[in-house]
Amino acid sequence: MNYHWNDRKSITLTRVVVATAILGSAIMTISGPWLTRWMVTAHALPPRTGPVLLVLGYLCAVLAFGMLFSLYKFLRRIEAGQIFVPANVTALRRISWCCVGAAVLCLPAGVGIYLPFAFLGVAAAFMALIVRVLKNAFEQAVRMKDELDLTI
Amino acid sequence: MPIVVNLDVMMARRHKGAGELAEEIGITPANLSILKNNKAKAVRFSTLEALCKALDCQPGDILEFVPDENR
Repeated sequence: MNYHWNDRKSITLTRVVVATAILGSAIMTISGPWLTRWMVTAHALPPRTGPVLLVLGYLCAVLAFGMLFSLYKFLRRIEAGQIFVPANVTALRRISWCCVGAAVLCLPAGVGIYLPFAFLGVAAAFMALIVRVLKNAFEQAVRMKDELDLTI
Repeated sequence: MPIVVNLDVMMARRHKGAGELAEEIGITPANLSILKNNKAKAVRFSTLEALCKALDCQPGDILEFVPDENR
């Protein structure tokens, strides 16, 4: 069988992965109390950290859903051929702020509760930076496209 | 914008229709309409050259600078 890989299929695959991540986040959110209990037991954390971890987890879930839904809508627009449009700049800005939020939540948790959270926070902060650079590039591209569209 | 496109005036003087002119200079009637209605943000030299050839005129006959306070 002859199978050809192309840009469109790549975007569709990314969209499916994002949808799977949304599903995974939903399952993790629902099983939050069980996950925190397991975390406290498995890593021998003080029992009082359980509720703190649960609240942090729910706050991170809100940010994760915001980011993943923005990413999903962003990919739908790219599939529809709307690439350098203001809505994509807004989506990237939102994704960047969600990463900043996750970094702000994870860094103190890493210092006070469990060190690997700090690495997660640093990774989120770095991702926020990369997405922000991408957002700035898209912003300029939208401006250039606007000029070019009305150049006769 | 203080740059005014007087394309309709030149077209009337040369008795040229929009469709005919668009075909002659190689742009779509929709783009010619954008240019004619002062909606364009920029004009390529190649378009200007084709317009001047087709209408037998100078760039100054098509483009005019009108300061904002005079509009």
